[in-house]
Amino acid sequence: MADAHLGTADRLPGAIEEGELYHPRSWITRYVFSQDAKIIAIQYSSTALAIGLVALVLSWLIRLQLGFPGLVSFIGPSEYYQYITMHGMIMVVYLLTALFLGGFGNYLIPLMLGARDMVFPYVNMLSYWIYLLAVLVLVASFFVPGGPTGAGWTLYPPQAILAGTPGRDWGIVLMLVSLILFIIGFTMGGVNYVVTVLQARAPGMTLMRMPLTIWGIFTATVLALLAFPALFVGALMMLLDRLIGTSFFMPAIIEAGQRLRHGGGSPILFQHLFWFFGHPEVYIVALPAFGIVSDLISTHARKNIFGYRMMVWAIVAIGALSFVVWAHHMYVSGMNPYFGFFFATTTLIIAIPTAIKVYNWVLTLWRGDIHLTVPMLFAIGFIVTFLNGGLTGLFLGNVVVDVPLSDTMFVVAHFHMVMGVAPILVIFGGIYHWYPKVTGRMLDERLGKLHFWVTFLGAYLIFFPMHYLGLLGVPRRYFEIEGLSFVPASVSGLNAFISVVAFVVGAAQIAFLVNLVHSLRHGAPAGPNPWRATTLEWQTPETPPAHGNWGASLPVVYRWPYDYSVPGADRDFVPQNQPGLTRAGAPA
Amino acid sequence: MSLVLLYLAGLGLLAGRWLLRQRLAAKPWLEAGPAVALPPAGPPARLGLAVFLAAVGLLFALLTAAYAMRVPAGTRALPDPRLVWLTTGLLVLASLALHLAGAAARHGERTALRAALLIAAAATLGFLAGQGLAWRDLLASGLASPDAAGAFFILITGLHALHLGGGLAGLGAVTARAFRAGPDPDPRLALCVLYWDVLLAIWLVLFGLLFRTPWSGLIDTLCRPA
Repeated sequence: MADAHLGTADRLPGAIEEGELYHPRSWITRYVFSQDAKIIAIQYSSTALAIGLVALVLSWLIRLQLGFPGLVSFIGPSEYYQYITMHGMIMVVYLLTALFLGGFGNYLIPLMLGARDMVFPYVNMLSYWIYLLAVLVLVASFFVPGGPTGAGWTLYPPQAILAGTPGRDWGIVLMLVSLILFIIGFTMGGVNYVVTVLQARAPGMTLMRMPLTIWGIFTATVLALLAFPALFVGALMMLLDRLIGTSFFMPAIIEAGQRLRHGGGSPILFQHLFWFFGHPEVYIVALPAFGIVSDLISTHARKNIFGYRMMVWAIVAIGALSFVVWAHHMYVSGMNPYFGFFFATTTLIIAIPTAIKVYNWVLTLWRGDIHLTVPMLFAIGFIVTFLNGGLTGLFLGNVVVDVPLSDTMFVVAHFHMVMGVAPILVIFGGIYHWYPKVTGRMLDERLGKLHFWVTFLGAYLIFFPMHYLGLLGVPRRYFEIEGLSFVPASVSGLNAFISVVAFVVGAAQIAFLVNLVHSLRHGAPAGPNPWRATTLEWQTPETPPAHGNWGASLPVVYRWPYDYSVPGADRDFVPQNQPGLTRAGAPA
Repeated sequence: MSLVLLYLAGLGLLAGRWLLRQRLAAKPWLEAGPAVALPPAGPPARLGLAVFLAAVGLLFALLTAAYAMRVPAGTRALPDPRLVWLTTGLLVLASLALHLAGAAARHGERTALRAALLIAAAATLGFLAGQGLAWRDLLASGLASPDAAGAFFILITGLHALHLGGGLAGLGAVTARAFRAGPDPDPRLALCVLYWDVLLAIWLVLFGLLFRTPWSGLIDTLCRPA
């Protein structure tokens, strides 16, 4: 363990105070209550993947019911609603958000920027432990009387806290408490990420020399800091409605002949608060994915990213726009037609910076030296999937198209493509790409390709047919659809097919887990820079990077992160910390 | 909702102004060379606190929007307004005392520093105690009123008090250090000053929203679209 101290000469405003890193004194403080962002990143990622596996199993159970209704006895309507609720909430918040920002953010921000650690390491550690607590509270709801909440992942009141909704007694309370904890924990991490990006960059690392991964994570963190307060307020108010009988969201309700003590509340208010969080949340997940995929494509196509400035501007523009589109989730809740027009327009405008990004990825690939490595396969899979999901977003963004399609499987297909499958593909690509730096060993390529092809093709076989189901009018969130006159018999055949594919795709993730564990010991040694990449995290003196990341002195940055295949250079990549085109000591 | 949008627009302007100075139109692919510039100086803790307070500000802005959407115009919270005027005065006093403490620390006047810190802490505690009295009155009268003004009072002032309570922990550490002999000024004092100022500003907005004050008309205009 290199106990690196900062010299006074290279002290930065955001460097650890008194020029000294926190030094762990025992195994516990080094690996459990660690303040090292790299360890915290691994803790965040492992926890997120573990709870993600729970959500994966839940999706199997959902598909079991939809594809083969009545096959197993333990899935009744209540259980089904609980599964869809927990699947959605876990995947969106506890897996995707935590893994992109807590996992990738913690690992990559200090390393890619040339910092020794996050600016507030102690707060960073707290952030993880509160996240873990939030996950445990969530998991606990499976074991309380009545089970977890079955209100749907949007938790709309009044039904979320009324008798008849599964988990009304305990589940919804634990869900709301868990969300509040998650937000507190995230805010601690988020402040850290923002200040680290702003103040702890290595000398020479101007904003416009930051890798797009960092731009994506940074902007997403800002969005999250501004979006989560809305969910916090909504969750807290619903908790009070449920526990002490206030009426923030609860209108006057007569239940089983009895008038409840609630009255005058506004369910629409909750929808506004939820979607004021919910829509930026889509970009909290998408922007890091955009950034990571840009770096993967550039590195594995040996070509500079096309339109770096446009990519940065597009990330910032998407982030800003994402705050003025939330009500497009509420077209069927009823609103002034002019508002509907406004929100449809802003929604469609987001397509412009997003399309710029897609064009730029494709143009980066154009005439690149494309290496079809596993990370590259996942990156290309992302582009295709995101484009698909984005196009159906244009359908749903229009009020007149959305109203008939609302609450059908078309919506399920859309958001799974655009913010389910697409970001997950990037997460896999990112893990295959950075695993060699984290562990010093390569992941197995054959297993990786198997994992990719089954996941990618399988995801299409699952979600593409759902668009057709949605156009037929098959509703989402229905426990069973038998007996609906407008649903043709062929639907159940298609549902069975989708379910079988879903089981296969889920099982294919075992190959990924086996690969993760097996390669830890038995993977081929990676060396410091197996992908011949330019960014700083590949230039650390040790692999995996030691505590303090950089040894005696911080790196100095001389160039942007995309100097691939530069004419006149002695290699096809020039690291960001290399002063000239040729390495010192290399033949000119 | 319009206060939220105004707040976001303000943050957006700040962010935009900052971004404009970051040479976002640079062409980094043409500009390989030695280090151009270091990141801006300034204590990271202050920036971190500012970022946190930006999120806290939005939290309360959203609460005002929720209040405006849920509570009929003209409804005011139930507690005795004289009590709340008193607590507001205490919070103003705390903020002023912290500014005085900051000045005393700069001039090295240790006795004045200690006195000002104690006054600030006592005034803040007095504020919290006063809020507690108001809650007692409210809880006694029940929260199930259909206009939800009482419930909003508890929720909004409760969250505000929680934030102040967290700040008190920090202020306690600063005060303890001021009473131990330490020659160097405490950088955390400036953080306390900022924190109290922002929480006071937030409180004044909330006060104007929940009670009849001279500036309530302005707050209503901002929160409730005509």
